[in-house]
Amino acid sequence: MSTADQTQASASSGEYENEPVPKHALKSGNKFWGMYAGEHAAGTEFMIGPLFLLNGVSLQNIVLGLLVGNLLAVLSWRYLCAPIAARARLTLYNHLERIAGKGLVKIYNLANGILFCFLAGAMITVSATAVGIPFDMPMPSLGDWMPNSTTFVVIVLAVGAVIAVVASLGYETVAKFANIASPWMVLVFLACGLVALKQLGVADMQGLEKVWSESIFIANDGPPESTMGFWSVMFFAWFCNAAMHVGMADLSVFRFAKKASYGWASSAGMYVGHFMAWISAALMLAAQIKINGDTNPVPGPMANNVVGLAGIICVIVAGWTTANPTIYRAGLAFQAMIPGSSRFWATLAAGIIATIAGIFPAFAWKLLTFVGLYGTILAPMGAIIFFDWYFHRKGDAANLHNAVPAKSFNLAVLFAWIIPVGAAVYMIQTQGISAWYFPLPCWIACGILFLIFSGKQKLTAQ
Amino acid sequence: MKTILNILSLIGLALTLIPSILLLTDSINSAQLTTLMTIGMVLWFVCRILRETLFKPTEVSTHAVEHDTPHTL
Repeated sequence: MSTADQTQASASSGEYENEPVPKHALKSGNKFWGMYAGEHAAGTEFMIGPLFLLNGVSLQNIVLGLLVGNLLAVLSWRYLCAPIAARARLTLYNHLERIAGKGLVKIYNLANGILFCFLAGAMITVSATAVGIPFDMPMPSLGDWMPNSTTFVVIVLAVGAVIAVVASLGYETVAKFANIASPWMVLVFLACGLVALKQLGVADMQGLEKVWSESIFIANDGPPESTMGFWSVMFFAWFCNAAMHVGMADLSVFRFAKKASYGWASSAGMYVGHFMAWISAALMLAAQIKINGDTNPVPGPMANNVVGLAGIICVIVAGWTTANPTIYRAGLAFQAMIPGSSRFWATLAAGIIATIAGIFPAFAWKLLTFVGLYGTILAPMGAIIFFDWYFHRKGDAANLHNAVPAKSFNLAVLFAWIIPVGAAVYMIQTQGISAWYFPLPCWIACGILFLIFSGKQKLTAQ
Repeated sequence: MKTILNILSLIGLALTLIPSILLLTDSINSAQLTTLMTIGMVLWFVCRILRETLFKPTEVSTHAVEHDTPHTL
């Protein structure tokens, strides 16, 4: 398809993937509030809250860390991502293509696709823990990095197969179902937290802190060895969606916003999903520990313990509605790598990779580290867009829209990206520094290196 | 019909949250909570899916804004 044909096709489908979103296609603010509130109450929330508790984070540090970290995330959406999106009105990929070139965007897309597959794999594991309950499936425990039973493998394969096939057939139906399920899931999370509080039998904040500390003590067989405190929680909350806000993936969302102030809508996602839902999920584990001493943070049984069938269905739906668009997106990324390939088969391949990853519970147990790594690798590309927008384009959208497309492979962008990310991954792997500390330094370093390298490129060209 | 489905789906949502508050105040027990929440869940999904099927929204869905960026966390 020619570029002109592509532009016409994207405009007729109402998605404007290859051109700035026109005025008549802009959407009202309530769409964004609803979307963020729903999409951040996902399958991952069932894992993250309990993992905080197992890492020995005090209740006070969780509450304060999440309050501050989520605020910083909202400010990142509002003041870094939304202003550029509301002026340039391009998708991340289209915007990046104009700076970095098609070839480099394909590499970024591939990294995105692979990381998405593993994230979807963790969600398939989450769903399988709920599906396995009626089959008396032995649940994987925190020490299990490998599959712990044949039943678990069979259920993961079955869940993964359904998700992969549905994702391959298209996005629309699942997106509609996810929209329907979202308000219900948010309320189930809240109900789970309230019931868990009742099960904990606490009358006041002091009582809750005491029960919380006891749960940490039991879960760790003594005082916790983890060093996760306020700063860890804050940085994690800020950067678990780093790829979306400072990483500029949500340019694709806010290009439809009438005003940059719609960026505040992200607060619905942060304080519903990443505050209420995480704390509710952590309380569910604390209640489970109190009732039967089970420290295994497996979402299916945890939700079943507090609200029964509705909880089990919520875990399945949350995992499914998260994994599905993730696999779909990974499929699109893979498809972009191989010109002429079928979207169906590319998405099915992504689904197969995700299902294989789902067989290994390690991806779910290591979700905190994985999410930090995901932000560290992808977010710096947002710095390229940010620094280019303010230093090269001077905030002028016409300058970007009319610019001569970048060469296929902009080396200034490539090196600005891989140098800090490579150093960060090395330090995460060898020094054992937590991954959620790296998106910020990598983002800043990437932006500065981009300015230096692109300046040198210009001098050489002259 | 549309109004009835809207009201029933809202009752479904209410039955999802209110039982947990009633449990907190010792007004119902755990078994009643699970039953009410299950009824709420069925009511919500059946009514919402029926509503979507029978009365297709004329406005473009948020699909366009969600397409590129699935939020997974």
